Amino acid sequence: MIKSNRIFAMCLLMMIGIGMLAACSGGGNRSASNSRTVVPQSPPAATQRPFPTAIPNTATPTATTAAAVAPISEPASTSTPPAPVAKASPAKSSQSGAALQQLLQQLNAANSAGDSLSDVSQLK
Amino acid sequence: MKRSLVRILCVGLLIALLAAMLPSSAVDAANPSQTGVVLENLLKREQIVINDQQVRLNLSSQVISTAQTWINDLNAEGKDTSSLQTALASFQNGVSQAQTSFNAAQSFLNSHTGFDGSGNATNLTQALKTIIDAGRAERQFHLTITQATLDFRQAVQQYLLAY
Repeated sequence: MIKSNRIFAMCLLMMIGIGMLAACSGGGNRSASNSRTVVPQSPPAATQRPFPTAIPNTATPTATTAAAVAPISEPASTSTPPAPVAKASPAKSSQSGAALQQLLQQLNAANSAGDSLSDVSQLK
Repeated sequence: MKRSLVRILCVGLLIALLAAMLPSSAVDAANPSQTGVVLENLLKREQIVINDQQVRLNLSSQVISTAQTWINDLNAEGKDTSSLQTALASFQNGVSQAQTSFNAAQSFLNSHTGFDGSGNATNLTQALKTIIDAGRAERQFHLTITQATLDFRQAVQQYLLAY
């Protein structure tokens, strides 16, 4: 009797252990809609929710990108016309000044590359 | 045997080094034909230099006209250009002096005294004098135009920084 009781208790413990394991691993999916889905809820929730939310998500980026394209083209079209008009008057002296600087740079480079003839001038 | 070979090699190397350090001018060459060749090469070099200096003179005249245009534009905008006008006058003076040196060098090279029409040295003494005179004039051109350019460029930079 004592032995059979021990065996029965052991079997009960094993059954409880197996049940716990089954509830934690495999059984969790089946009972996901139930109240015991605290731990396993996060993986399925992460895999299931993107699909329905993906449609509105794709809709909103297109709306934002379409809205973002428009302001890029608009300031570009509005900024180009006034730019030459605004720079037209002071460009005269700046243009001639830039041309002078370029010429001076060329002359300086030619002087630097020029043959100084220092050895020939020392001939006697 | 090996030691003697090494000594001979060392002495040969020393002689070669000393020979390389010696000046290779025409005057020091003992052989008259070699002296003539060196003078002819120097004449070609000075002819190349005079062409290069003509380009620099053309650039200088462009600089003067562009600078004058710039000063006129600045004056039209009511800006003070007195420092630029002074710097431009100094640059023009330098270019004028360089032009004088250029004319002298060109005259020496055109007369090519001591050389024939093909640039061969016919009289070594006269050819050497031509090379020396033209070379000094060309060097003077180089020094004058370089200094004038540096001064004017610095004046332009200072003006741009100030205004």
